[in-house]
Formats: sequence, structure tokens, C-alpha cells
Amino acid sequence: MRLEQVPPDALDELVEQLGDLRHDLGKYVCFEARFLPPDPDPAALRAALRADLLQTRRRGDEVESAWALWRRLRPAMLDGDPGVTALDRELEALEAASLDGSPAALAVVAARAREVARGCRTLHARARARLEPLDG
Amino acid sequence: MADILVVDDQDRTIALCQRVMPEHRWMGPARSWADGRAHLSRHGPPDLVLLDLHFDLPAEHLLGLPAEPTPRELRQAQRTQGAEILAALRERWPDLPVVLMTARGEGLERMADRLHAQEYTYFLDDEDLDARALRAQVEGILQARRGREQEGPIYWGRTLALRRIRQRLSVLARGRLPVLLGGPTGTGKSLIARHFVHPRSRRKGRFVAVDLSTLPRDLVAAQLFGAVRGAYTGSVADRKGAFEEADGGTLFLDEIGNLGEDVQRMLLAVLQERVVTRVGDTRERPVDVKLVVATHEDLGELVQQGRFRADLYMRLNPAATVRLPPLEERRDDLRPLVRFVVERIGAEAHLVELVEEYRARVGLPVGEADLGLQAVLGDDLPPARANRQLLLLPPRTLALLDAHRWPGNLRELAMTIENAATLALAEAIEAGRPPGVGPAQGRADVLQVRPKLMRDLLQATAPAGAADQELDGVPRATVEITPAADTRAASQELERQVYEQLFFRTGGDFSAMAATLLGDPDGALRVRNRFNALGLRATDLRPQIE
Repeated sequence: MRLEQVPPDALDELVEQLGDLRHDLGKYVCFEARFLPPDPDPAALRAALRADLLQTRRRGDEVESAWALWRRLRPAMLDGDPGVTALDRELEALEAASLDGSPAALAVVAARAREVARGCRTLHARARARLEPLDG
Repeated sequence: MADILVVDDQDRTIALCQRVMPEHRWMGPARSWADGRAHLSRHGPPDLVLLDLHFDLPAEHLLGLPAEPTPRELRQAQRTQGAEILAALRERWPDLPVVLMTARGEGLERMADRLHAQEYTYFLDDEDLDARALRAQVEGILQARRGREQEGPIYWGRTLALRRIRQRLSVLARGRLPVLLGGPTGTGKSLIARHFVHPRSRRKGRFVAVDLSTLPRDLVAAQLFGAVRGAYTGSVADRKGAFEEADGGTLFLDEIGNLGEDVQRMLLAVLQERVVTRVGDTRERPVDVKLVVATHEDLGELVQQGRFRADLYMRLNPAATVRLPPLEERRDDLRPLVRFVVERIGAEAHLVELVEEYRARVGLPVGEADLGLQAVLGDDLPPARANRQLLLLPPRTLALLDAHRWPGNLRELAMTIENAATLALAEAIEAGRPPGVGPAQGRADVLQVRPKLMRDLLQATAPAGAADQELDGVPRATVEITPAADTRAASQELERQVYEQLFFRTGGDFSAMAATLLGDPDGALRVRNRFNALGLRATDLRPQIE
């Protein structure tokens, strides 16, 4: 179902769910890489991507990768929504990507991570935009 | 360098901050409000708090939860925990700058009542955050705060009481009524009159200060109100008094309690009529001054004793008296004050010269320390930078400052720190090398104020009767020595008293005693042997331990 087709009584719960997704995955999937200078040293970029993608969410000793988080928080209700489909594609590519590749390959991985962050934010914003007129 | 506390359940924000801004001291992360509160109680408020909004904590560590929360209530409390922490923080530290890290669209509007989004709360969108944005935000806040706090030589500090005094003085400075400053000597009354009240009085005239405790009594009237030629022996020409000099500006009369009865009467007339008459003259001259008076005495009590006129006292606006607290009541401010003093004196010409001389001796670039002298308190040294010279006060030196009672207040503190910096520099210049031992680890950019130097300085300024104070954690003991006394026995008696007091204080823990006496907790056996040799018996003393 596309987000615009979600029934109004399910929106509250969906907005909260997408808020969690935006925070847990979207915020941390490129957290460390963002702090690197524009043309980062490949070793520094590799280390940042490892932290961002393999240890995206940390709770004490518990660690979750970006794709594990996506599987846990993926809004099943939105199967077929283009935003979710795009995220499926990006996360699948990230999981398959090697972090030992060339600087150019690492740059592609970093771009994909940024795309995931943007996708999570957009999904949440779209859901909130639907909810707000109802609140108002 | 600023102290910044990170309150966040994750480690990665602080790690990034440390990487991006290594010049600051990053503390934490405090992972919950309980952690944060404990940190603040132990170390005092920092310069800035970086607070996350979302905390993945179990219910028992969250604020603002109902007794038996539903899973949804728990999730919501986790998502907005930063707002609850901010509200708790604001109860005790209403104007501590706090940066709340939150993304747009996290429902901030629903927590508006808990955000206290007044002047000192800032929001940082941490979704698109990068090194430059983080640095710009943090530096911007710190700079604004420095601008507010560093008003000339005055450090207002972080205590609520001082902030209230500052607000009150701002209001009183603009009014027409006199300002009466009380408080012990050395608390900064004269600095505040000159650098705070006068600039805020919006008056164009001069600031004129008269210290009534140093003027010969028979010249006070002429100094204050002026005199005509021949009014008294040696008065060879007409002269203006302080009131006329300060016309249109501010007149500060320090130690007003020293005024004699006749001058009190003349002063009262000036305050009532707003005119002065020079000594020996009959002509009245209008004056318009903002009057600020100060005293370390209780003027109300002087009135009771008949030493100060009640009508003059009432004219001095006693209801609005501003009492500046002694340093003893501003313990939270001690360390920031040390930093403040070091930065200020570091800009003084004689210290700049000494720093340059030292840097030349140890082979550091000369003329590049444009950040000046900066204090490092404790043993957490920041990385070396070419453009600053650090003055390290290691933990044992700080313990001496903490234990001192500062009877001379801010004046004493400023003099002690200036002496310490000067002597530490002189020692290092003479040695021709940086301190080779201790926490400075031989770094040429770090000068060190050794505990012994600080102890000597504090002893020199300790008031009479300070012998019963303790220094560096070691209790003081006293013994009377008569001319015929055996000095060796007296020395042993002193030592015995110190050991006995330490025994009680440490609850009979010889390792703790060794840590204090020898700086080495492993020296317990040595301390125990000496304890026994002094005739003390642990088994006799233990029952007396409270």
C-alpha cells in the first residue's frame, strides 16, 4: 500500500514507527561519515562506514547493522510504496557491498548510506504531512 | 578551552566532538539524568551541555513516566527523554547553555512546555550535522557566553546568587538612587562600581573613586566637596572636590563607614539638595552624580551604635543593598575563576614577556602564542597547540586551593594565581626546560604550578590562627614549646597528633593514611610502623572511631 492510501486511524501508529526508523536508522546510517572532510582519507572513510553500517545502532553490548535495523523497523504496511521500495534496494545493495574496495567504491557506498538517511526522513515527513491536516 | 558535558545514551557523539574540537574538555557521556545529575554535583556546572533527545533506556532510568507505563508510553518517554532532562536541569541551573540535539520533525512542538526555550536553550539539527556545523554552533554559544561573563575584570560566575546580583545591579545602575554595596573586603566592590555600575548608568561624565579609609580625616571634606584658597593650611588655590569632578558621572565612595560625623552631615546635605559648597565658600554649586557607596561593615549596626547618622543611612537606599558574597560562599566558581584569572593575567605585559622568554629558552616558537596563557585544572591535558601556553594546576595543587578559606576573597585569589604563574614561569626559565616530571610529562607547552609552590603561597597569605586548618589533606596540629622544652619530643607530639587525627578521619585505614601522608597507598606498612613507634595503638583508638 502507498503511504497516501493508509487509513487515517492507522496514521498515528505509522508516524511513530517511521519516527523510530528515521532516528535509529536514518540518523546513524551515515553519522560518522558526515563528519569527515569533503575528500576523506580512504582509511578514515572505511572506518567510518564500518561503524555506520555494521554498528548502526548500539544498545549496551547489543549491536545492529543497518540492514538488520531495516528488517526490524521496515513498515510492512507500506509494501509497494516507492519510498519503501527504494530503501529496500539501497539496503540490499549496502549489505552486499564490500568495505574493502577502492576509494571510488567506498564513495559509492557512502552515497548510498546518505540516500538511506534521506529516504527515511522523506518517509517520515510524508506521513507527518498526512497527519497534520487531521490534527489541525 | 571550555568544559562541555555530553548527555547522551550513545558514545559516538562525544567521540566525534572530541575529534572535531580537541581544544575543549569533553565530559561524559552521562547516559541518563541520574548520571548527569551526579556529574554536575561532583564537578559543578560546565560551560555547555550537549543533550540528546532520544534515550534508549529501560523504564527505571527514564524521567516522566507513569507508574506502570504501557509499551507505547515507554517508547514516547524514550523519544522525548531529552526534554524531561532539560526540565530537570533547568530547575537547578536556569541559565546554563544547553544544546538539545534533535532533528526537525521530531514533534518538538508537543513538548514546548518542557523545553524552556528561553535564551539559554539551543537546538541543533543532528540529522544533517557535520563537523563545520557542530563547531560553528558550539563556538558561537561559547563566544556569546564569554561576552556576557567577561565584563572587564569581573567574572560573575555560575552561581544563581551572583546572577541575581548582576540583574539587580543592572537595574539599580540605571536609576537615580544611590547604590549601596556590602560584603567583605576583596569581594570586588570597587571593580563592580567602576566596570559594571558606571557603564550601565548611561552617564557621560567621569567615574571618580574615593577610598575613605585612606584619607586623613581632616582632609575628607575638602576631597569630597572641594575647597577655596586659604580654607585650610596649605590650601593655596581653589580646587574642585570629587562631587564636582564626577558631575554627570559616577562617584564611588569606598568604606563609607569611616566618615566622621561632620562630613556625614555635609554629605547628607549634598544628597538632599543636590548642591555642594566647597570648604571655606558660601556659593552652592549644583551637582548631578550617580552615587555608589561601599562598606565591609554593617551600616545598620553602626547606626545602632550611634556611629553613623540614621538619616544619611536612609538616604543611601539601604533597602536595595547589594551584598557581594565572600569566595567561601562561591565554591562552585573557584575553578572557573582560576581559569578567568589566568587568562586575564596572561595578557599582562610582564607575563607576556616572561612567557616569550620561557618559550625562547625551551625552543618553542616565539611570538605565536596568540591564545595566551590558559589554565588546565586537573590532569586532563589537551593536545599541544603552537599558539597557546598552558598553565597546569595538577590535582594536588587544586586540592590546596579547594581547602583554603580565602579570607582575602577574590583579591587574594587573583594575587595568588598571578604569583603562582609568575613563579612557575621563573622556575621554568631558570631551569631552562619544561617540568620533567608529573602530569606535564615534559611537554614544553605546559608549565606547572607544583603543590609546594602553591602551599608556600597560601601559607604566606593565611590569616593568623590558620594553623588549625589543613593543607593538602594533612591535618594541622599545634603544640606549645616552652624555652626549656625538648624540641624532639615536641616534634614527635605534633606527628602523633597528625597520625591520630588521620586515623580517625580515615576510619583506621592505613592505606588511606599512606595515600595522604606519602602520596602512596602502598606505603601502609611504613605508616603503621611509624604509628606504633609514636606510641599509638590501633586497638585502643578503633572504639573511638565514629
